Amino acid sequence: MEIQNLKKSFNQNGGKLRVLDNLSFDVKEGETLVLLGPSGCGKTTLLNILANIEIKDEGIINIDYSKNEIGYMFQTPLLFDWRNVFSNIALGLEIQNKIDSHKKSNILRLLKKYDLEDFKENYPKTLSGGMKQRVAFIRTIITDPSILLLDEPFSSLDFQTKLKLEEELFDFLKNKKIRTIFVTHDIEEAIALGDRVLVLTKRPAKIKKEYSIKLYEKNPIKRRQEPKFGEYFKKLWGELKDETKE
Amino acid sequence: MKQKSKILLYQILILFGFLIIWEILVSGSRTSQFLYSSPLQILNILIKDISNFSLIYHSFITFYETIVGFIIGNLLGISIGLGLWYSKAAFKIAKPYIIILGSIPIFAIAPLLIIWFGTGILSKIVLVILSTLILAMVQSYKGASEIDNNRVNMMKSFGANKNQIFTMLVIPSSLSWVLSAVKLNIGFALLGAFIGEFISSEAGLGHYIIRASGLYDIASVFAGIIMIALIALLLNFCVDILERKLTPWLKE
Ligand SMILES: Nc1ncnc2c1ncn2[C@@H]1O[C@H](COP(=O)(O)OP(=O)(O)OP(=O)(O)O)[C@@H](O)[C@H]1O
Ligand SMILES: [Mg+2]
Repeated sequence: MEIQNLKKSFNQNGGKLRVLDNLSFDVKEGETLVLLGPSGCGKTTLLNILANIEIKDEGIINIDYSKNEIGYMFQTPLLFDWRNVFSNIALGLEIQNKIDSHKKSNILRLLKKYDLEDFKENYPKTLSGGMKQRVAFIRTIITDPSILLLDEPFSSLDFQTKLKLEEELFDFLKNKKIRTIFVTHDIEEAIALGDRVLVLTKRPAKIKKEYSIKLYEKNPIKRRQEPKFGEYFKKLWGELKDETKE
Repeated sequence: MKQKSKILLYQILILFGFLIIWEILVSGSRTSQFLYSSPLQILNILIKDISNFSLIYHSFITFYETIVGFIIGNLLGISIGLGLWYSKAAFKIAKPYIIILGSIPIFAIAPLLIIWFGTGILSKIVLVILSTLILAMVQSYKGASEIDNNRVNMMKSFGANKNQIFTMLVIPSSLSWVLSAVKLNIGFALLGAFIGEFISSEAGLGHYIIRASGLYDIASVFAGIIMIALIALLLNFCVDILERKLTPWLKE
């Protein structure tokens, strides 16, 4: 999957607000690419364009949208209050007309795996933040996407829950051919989950620097304990702190 | 449960206290009884007019006009209101007309409708439809336009088309707006039917009450009012059941 010279600006207050400035990158099969950028630099806009929700101004994206290849997970769970856990998960399948008994048993299997079995008939308002985000995660992956777009999916969670979900995400992704783009402004999360990290500048977002994360461990929690983790942190912080200044 | 029955007990006590005080206050004077009637007189009239079916007949007419107009008015209003979600431009075009229609007192249009649709049931049904339509429409549109854009985007990311967004997101998330409009419309529907009957009719509780008040038969006026209140209660009850059926996720 390749993105070339992507440009986007919004009309705002009569002027043009440039948000994405000539972004080019690729994501390989099975790779987790982290886009690390300061708040408001255009990360969500980029993912919206990749998900075909927002229209780009210029550039090339080689994704075939007719194949429903994309799974997009948002910063908040965005569950529907009127659907119980099970049918919230089934939403994407219903939209794509792919719901059948095989898929239904798949949902049950995943509910079990993620400790949500007893809650399958609950309405979202009875779930904790972490559980809701897990439901959103299952909803995203149940349609078998080959491209996964994750927009700061754990940023609203407490630290322990976040670690747990990071680990679950890692477990899910390993040995799969999914191309993952993980967007965050959290440096630790970027190093813990990324095979590669692209540091973005403040708005309009450009690619400032690219780092391949070479750690022995793949597991995000074990990665945090490696001595090299701290080195990466220092480097990335050095890149990012210039971009945080106004 | 205990709390509930306690509340009911207090409600009944208040009602009986009110009726007893009323009965006592008017019992001394014939003039007061004539002007204000009394609970016992009203009870007599209720028994008499219910057993000779006249009150049942008039209540049924009013109920029929109200329920038919109420259903059509609400369904039409809700469909238009939610449907306007499909096109912001259509809403902008329609807006001044909606405001004008919504601000004309129904009393002012009633004579026209009676001229056009006759003094029978039809003109009342049309009046009820007009009395309920605007609120249902405006509230539904509001509900539809307040849907969360992030959820729309989430659906789009799965490749959802506009119709899917409408049925899976817009309709269910507007339900609480829609239902609150439907509840308020119970009163407006009854008002519409009553005004129609009040202005010109051969039957219905409006007719019954006007005739009785012309004869200074205050007890019958009250009997008519009681029947209207019962119809309102019945409609409220139905809407409550509908609400519980349609929005199970909202219950505690
Ligand atoms: N539909 C829109 N119309 C106009 N401006 C927009 C629109 N969407 C986003 N913007 C602007 O584009 C800029 C980038 O927004 P975006 O949400 O992509 O940033 P972000 O990097 O995801 O920020 P955060 O880290 O806070 O989530 C912001 O300044 C925002 O105000
Ligand atoms: Mg964002």
